[in-house]
Amino acid sequence: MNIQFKKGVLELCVLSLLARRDYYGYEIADALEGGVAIAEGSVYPLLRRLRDDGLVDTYLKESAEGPPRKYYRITEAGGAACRALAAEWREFVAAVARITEEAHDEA
Amino acid sequence: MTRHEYLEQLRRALRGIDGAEELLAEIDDHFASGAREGRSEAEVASSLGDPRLLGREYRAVAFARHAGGRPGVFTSIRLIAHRLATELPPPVAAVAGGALGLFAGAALIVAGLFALGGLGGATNLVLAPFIAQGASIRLPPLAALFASVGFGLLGVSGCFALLSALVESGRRSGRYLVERVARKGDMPGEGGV
Repeated sequence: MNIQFKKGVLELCVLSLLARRDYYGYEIADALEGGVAIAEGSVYPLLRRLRDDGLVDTYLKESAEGPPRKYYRITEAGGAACRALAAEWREFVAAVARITEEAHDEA
Repeated sequence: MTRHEYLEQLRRALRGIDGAEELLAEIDDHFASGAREGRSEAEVASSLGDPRLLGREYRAVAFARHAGGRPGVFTSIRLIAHRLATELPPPVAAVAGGALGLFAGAALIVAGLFALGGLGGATNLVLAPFIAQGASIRLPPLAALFASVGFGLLGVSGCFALLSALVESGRRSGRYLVERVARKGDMPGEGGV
């Protein structure tokens, strides 16, 4: 799949996950496994960019297993960006469906 | 690759980047989470992707933040140095670095001469009443004053122009770097471990 496209979709997926609840890095990589993830590692630069852009923020939470763990939480701006991206995505999918169905009908 | 090796390679790839320690701690936690699910260190390392590529992608994101605003002079110099070091083949980088150094040196010397000229003019002006007739001063005091102020301003604005050019060039370097990474889809793991 086109890499730029995949990156955009990755951003939408991460924001959509965070819109439901707070996650830490490993959980996000884990949830994306199967189809979407490029490499688990690429989640971290993306999260850093989302934080620099103010779409998510982070906090540390004590964990029973080791040192405090970094959690990600979506911000108000992140929620808005997520809805906009999701709308774009639905439009895109609908357009592709329309085109492929038309092509299918003609065949 | 072991957890320790992975973190060491990543640490090297992140040298000089703000937030490096934070990412290293997170990746360490990633290995710990994987271990609790029964995954081996080698498995986690290979699913994370090449640490050098991860480091490069993270660097690009860290630089993108500078590319948005106006970075300071030192950030600019670092951006240019980083670009020279990573974008160009080593011999070209050496020549380009040398040329940049010569240019900066020449500009500073010219600016310095102007400043000296200004200073000289001012000194002449101050000393004029005390110098015997027939000495080198030909300019009337007011003209000397204007000349020295003019030369001084020229020197200062020369330095300022040089610094702005440096900052602007740094900003472009940052943007270029980010765009290049985006274009190439230079994501960790794509050609990974």
